[in-house]
Amino acid sequence: MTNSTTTFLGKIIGARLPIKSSVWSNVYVYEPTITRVTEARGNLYLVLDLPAHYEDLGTAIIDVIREKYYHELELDPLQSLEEALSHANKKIEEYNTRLVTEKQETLKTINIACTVLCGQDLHLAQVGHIDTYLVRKGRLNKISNVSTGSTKEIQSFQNIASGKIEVGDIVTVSSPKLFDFLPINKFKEIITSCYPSVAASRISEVISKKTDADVAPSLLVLEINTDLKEQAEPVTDEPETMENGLKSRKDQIAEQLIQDADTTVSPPVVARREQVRNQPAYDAEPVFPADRKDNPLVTVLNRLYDGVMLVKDVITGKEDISKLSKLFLALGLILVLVVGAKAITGREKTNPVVETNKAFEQAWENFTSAREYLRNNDFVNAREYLLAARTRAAEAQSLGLFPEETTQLLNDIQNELDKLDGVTRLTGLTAIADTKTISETSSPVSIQATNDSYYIFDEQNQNLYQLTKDNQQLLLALDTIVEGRQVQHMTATPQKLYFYSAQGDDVQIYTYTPANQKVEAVSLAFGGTWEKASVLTSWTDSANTTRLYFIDPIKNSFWRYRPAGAQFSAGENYFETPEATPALGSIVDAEIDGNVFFLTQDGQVFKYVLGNQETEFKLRGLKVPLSSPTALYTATPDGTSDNTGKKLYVTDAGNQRVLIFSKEDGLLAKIYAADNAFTDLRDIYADEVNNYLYVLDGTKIYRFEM
Amino acid sequence: MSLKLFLLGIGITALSALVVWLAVLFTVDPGQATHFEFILFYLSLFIWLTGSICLGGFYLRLLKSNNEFYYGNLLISLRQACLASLYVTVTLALRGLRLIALPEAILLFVATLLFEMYFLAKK
Repeated sequence: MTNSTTTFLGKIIGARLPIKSSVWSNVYVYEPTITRVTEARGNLYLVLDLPAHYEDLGTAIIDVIREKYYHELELDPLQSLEEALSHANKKIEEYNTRLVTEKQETLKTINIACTVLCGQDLHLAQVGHIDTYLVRKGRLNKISNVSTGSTKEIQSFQNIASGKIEVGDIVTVSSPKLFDFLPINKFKEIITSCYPSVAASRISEVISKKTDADVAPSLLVLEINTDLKEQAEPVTDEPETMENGLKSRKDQIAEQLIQDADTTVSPPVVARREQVRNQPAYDAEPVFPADRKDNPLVTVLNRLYDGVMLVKDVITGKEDISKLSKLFLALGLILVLVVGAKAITGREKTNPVVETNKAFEQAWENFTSAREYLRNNDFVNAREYLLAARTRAAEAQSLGLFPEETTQLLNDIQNELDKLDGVTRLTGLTAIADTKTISETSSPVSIQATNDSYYIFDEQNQNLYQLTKDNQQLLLALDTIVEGRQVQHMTATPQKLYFYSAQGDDVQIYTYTPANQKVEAVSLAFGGTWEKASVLTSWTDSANTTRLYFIDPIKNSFWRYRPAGAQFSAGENYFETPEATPALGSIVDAEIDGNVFFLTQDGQVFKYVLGNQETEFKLRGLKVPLSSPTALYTATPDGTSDNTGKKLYVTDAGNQRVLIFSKEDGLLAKIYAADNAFTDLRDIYADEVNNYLYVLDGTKIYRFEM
Repeated sequence: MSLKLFLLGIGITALSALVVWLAVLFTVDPGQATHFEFILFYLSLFIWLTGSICLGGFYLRLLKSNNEFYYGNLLISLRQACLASLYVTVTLALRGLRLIALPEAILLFVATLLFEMYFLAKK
């Protein structure tokens, strides 16, 4: 048997039935008579169900599809069909626009099925709801539910379903209302047992009997059969006629149906085509409708195969490269997604060896450059390069590789920096005492000295620690300084310690005498004079007379209490006029040696002599300004010693160092830094007689020789 | 808007963006830069790159087509300039954030080429 087929058809045109219908239902069949056209394009069938007054739209659609589909015969039929359907879509859109502008109404639901039978290829496209069935080997399959149709909202041809037909197949295209007139079983029985024209006639009779019907459905029945003209040999000796051929074929089919029973019957084949509007469709291997619905893998594989074949066609020049545009876009998007996912899922993983080498090399380069600048006495740039080198070297060290090299480089950099800044680096400094050994929660804030001992005050825990001068033993002098009261500040004289305590308006001064270990209240005239002290300090002159000083930030006053017998006289403001008073709210610490020194939060030290500021005095020689200074200390000059009372000591907590300045002109004398210490500088005390510096660093007390 | 006016607009925009970019480059410390400064840096880079590549591409085409002033060339140049600048800016930004390395940058480049091929093939 050859591949050449022919079709027999039967049709019911709803518009011609004797039923008064609100729907214009029609069937249009175009079977070209010219052989070349028939071979190239095949036959065109349209079934339309439109509102009655849309007849002109229906005619226009028929015309445009027929005209465009048979226009360029050298094109692929599917491509031509897509072209034709696109034009039909435009017609529908134009019609809709006209309706909106002229009649202010939107397009009602239209139902059109466009079927093309070209050789053994069957192409289906539809708008709205039209039922298409395929009868193959006695089985009725609905093939219009494979997404060829558009939804109600989309009044246009969207997709084309394609498949291969076989001899003996019967295809029906009908209005869905048809099955209001007869059940589907009856329908199947009629179309499989009669020729299409007879079947159409019988069904037409059934429809016409229903006089109360308000819709006249249309039906198209196509039966695929062998083209007898091309059959090589006649089946029988008797003269061959069309009727004989058909009968013979029908007999063959009937026999085959009996033999095949149920199991070997294969379902009809339909392959979905791409969207009509945008892209042309390509040949594809047919897939089963049921599988398409349930197995997305098949769809994916099918598409993949389509893509591969397309690429092959483009490479061999059979297809235009424009057909690959979607592929390019998809691949581009996939790559972007891959990079995006990689970027989201994790930062670039660094190679520690590479990173260490890089950091070390940069540190070394910076260090070398710094030394060059040092040779040229360009200290500013040298310092910048040293700091950069230190940062990179610290990075290299933090990675944990080559610890010896990086530590050595860091030490070299630090030595150069220290030299540049005049820093004396204390190596191997160990604490002489640690308040944590007595109380785990200790947090001392101040260190002061009497004749015999150093006293460390822990405001948070209200503890007073004693560090004996002779054997450096740390003791807990007072577990609670004043029963029932919180003490805020401490100052020391050679014989006593003074504590400041304020609870609301109740301000009290207490004294602690180490000799008898007694804490007693001291009578001071506070009433109404001032409100709150932020700093308490004292000065004992060479005649052993002690004065107490309080900074009152609220009233911006610096109160002085002179002794009066065993007690103190009324307080007086050190500054005579408010104009002469500095902003005391920013004072961190104050020291008195006859003159007054204030240390401010921003790292300045002011000197006042007899209530007047010595404007010439300021800290000099600092290459790195003070950062978060915490304490200031100075001793009272002693007439018998050239060494005593000449210096100012400052704890520069932000830079982790201790600085010594000349008290006369503020010139920097020395900077002390320490490896692994001075990280939490809180207070300082200088024993200028023995030339020791005591530093309170967190809970630790360090002592080193100056 | 005439073609020349359009080209002039692109040129001025690119030049302004270059000035902004240089200003950001020389005045902002990347170690302390805010989000806004980073966005300004990359945005100005994108704009001046787009403008420059667009003009460059357009005049190259002009030269190639014997001084035929063709409007379509400008659109193609603008599209290619946008894609190239986007690639450069995005790659730099992601690299700056240490989110991608060389292989990812190459993938992004291939993606950019594919996008351009999409436009070329689409016609």
